[in-house]
Amino acid sequence: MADITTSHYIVLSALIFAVGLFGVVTRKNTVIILMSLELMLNGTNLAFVAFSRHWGNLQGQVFTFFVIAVAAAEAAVALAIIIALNRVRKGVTLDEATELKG
Amino acid sequence: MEGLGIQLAFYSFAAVTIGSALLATMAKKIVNSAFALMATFFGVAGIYGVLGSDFMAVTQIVVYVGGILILLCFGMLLTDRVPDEFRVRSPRRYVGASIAATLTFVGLAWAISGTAWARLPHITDGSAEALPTTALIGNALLTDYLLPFEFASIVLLVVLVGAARVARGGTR
Amino acid sequence: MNLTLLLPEIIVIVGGLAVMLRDLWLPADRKDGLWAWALAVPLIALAATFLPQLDVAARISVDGAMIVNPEATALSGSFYLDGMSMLLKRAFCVAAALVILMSREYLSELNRGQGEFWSLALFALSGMFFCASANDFMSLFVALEVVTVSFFVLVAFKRSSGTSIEAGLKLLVMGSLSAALMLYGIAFVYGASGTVFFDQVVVNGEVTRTGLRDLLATGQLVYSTELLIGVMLIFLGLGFKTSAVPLHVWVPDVYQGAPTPVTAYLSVGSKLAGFVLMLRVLEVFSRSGPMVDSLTPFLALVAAVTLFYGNLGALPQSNIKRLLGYSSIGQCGYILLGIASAWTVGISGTLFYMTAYVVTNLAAFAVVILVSRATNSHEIDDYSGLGRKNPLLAAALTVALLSLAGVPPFIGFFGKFMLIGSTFGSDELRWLGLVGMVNVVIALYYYLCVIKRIYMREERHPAKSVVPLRLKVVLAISMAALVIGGIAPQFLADKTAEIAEELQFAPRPRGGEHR
Repeated sequence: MADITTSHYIVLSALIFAVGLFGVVTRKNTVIILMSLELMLNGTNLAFVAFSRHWGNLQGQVFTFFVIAVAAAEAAVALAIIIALNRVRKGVTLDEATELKG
Repeated sequence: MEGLGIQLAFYSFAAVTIGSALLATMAKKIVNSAFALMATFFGVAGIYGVLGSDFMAVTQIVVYVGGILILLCFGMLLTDRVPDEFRVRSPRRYVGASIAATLTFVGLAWAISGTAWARLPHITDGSAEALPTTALIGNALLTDYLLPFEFASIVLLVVLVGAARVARGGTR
Repeated sequence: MNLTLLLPEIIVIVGGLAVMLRDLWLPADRKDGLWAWALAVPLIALAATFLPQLDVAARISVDGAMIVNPEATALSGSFYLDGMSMLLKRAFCVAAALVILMSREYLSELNRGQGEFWSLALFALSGMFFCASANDFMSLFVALEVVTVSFFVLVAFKRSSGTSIEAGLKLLVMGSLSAALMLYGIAFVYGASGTVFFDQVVVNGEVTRTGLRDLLATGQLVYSTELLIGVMLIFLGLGFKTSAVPLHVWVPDVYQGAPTPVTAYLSVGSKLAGFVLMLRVLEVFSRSGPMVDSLTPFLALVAAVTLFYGNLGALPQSNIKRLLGYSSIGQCGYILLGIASAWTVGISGTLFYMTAYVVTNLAAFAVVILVSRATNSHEIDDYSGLGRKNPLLAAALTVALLSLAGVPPFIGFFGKFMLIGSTFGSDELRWLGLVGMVNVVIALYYYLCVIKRIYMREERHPAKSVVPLRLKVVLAISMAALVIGGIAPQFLADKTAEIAEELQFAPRPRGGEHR
């Protein structure tokens, strides 16, 4: 086996990113769409940490820290909106959200 | 021998991550998705460990598994059960999405293969700063990154105010 | 550390907190007065932007090369004040003040939540301020997220209405997706360059931290595929805010579903925040000629597709908010024309049009709010006969739509003229100018359809709109700006030309004589 280079980590991050993108496009349950979005963010985080090690500075790791903080915040808003939608609409699929066309 | 250990750790964590990520996006039951996602988060934390980023590995577990995943599980439990099949019954869109995701990955992988990133990261060639990284990151947050660090508190404030506003019951 | 530079930001954040706390102490029957507190904040911040202490030279010349003046930066170089950020901050203040004046009537329908609404609107404003001054990718990301997250909540603010919450959910999913794309792009840029900062930091003559501007200017960082992919992903992610194709799909639904004052705020504030960041990123990477050369075809393609999508999509619309949504996609296409051209005249036109767009679009939305209060509908058919019922309102909407369409003598004409003209400077972009001209004609058609209904058709709703004083002020200010800016555009145009020069874009179009 060859040595594990930065490229290995980045290819892995691209793979996680692509799998997340696939989930966002194909699923219809909002909660799973949000999970897939978290997967995509995990892919970017991995790339940042790997590049941080590649360049030997901390910028990538600090960036990941901010991404995680903001992702947690967004998840809280997402939960609030999902609960509110469930209250008025019963059911949380993006397809059932049909009052707005398109 | 150390190189072999890193390879072993990398490939096993990578396999766990990718396998569970695929499961999370394709599972029929939302509960299975949630559990698979937990495995993905742990897998990514393991990769951070391999990269020698101890602080990020711990943060990953604390925030993603302990925070975000729990929030999503609340979302799952507090909403009515809906059928969890794929968005489109016709396989055409499914195939289309698979092709799009594959192309995204292949495109990125092609770009990555042409770069100068195919060398050892600093952590394995011994030139990186010593572990643990926590103190260094803490220091950096309050010096070089003060503006985003302080402003992130506004994000959190907005979320607190906003989530309370939207989620709270009431007619108006 | 020069914290005086952050005075407008501090005013807005403290003001947002003050409004929130004031709300807690006010008895329920007196909350209606809170709007005046909220309105004071952007006005004080606007006044603060004119302080002489904030008037610092953005660039200085060292050994013949123009570099960023350290005196104009604060907080370890994360915050940067130049002509562009000052102009945009003033535009954001005006936008927020007009939106607050417009929102008061809508909020009186809600018996609680006024304090939250005003403070979120002000926090969004602080996010826009920091977008205008962001000088590294981390500040850029966090500032952008403050704007985005505030709008998730503001759009879903009417929590008893399914459409409002649904619009918030759509915005949230698309916003997170675009953030992920942008972050992956930033990761690639970081991977290619090793820095997320735009500027270097020099301590005692020694570079302690490298920055993208300096790496690109000295040739230590050269064009590479991964760098290009990174920058393209960043532009795609920012395209979500500016409603550029392909992350525009949320626009019509969210514009329709959101409370109308929020739609108005979204259509100017959030959009301009995206554009100012696009300009900032472009400015940083314009230090490298090959980067600009390979970005231009990409941006030109996005601009052309966005133009056609927005203007053709607007044709069959019967709901005025959806129509304005598609129209705002089209307007985004025009602004992208100037950004794609990436030379002084194009950037100057971009800044001019962005400023003009604030007053034009807000005027249109003010009329939409007033008409829908009387007719309880957003259907374009219900605008029939407005010319007889409310001649002044009808005239205001007509002027706003004509300015959006780019008809002289209003301010929008001059902006479009500059933007389309800038593409004719270079041989490679001439086709894009033609696309822009074709779209002016398409857009004129659907704006004229609305105007025809206003004046030529019999009225369907006898209810006349009552115009409260606050909205009279909004309409008076925006009409004055539209007309005066159209008759005497030199004042603003000179200012934007000066800013474009300061940003150091290429003085001549690409493919011109400099080759």
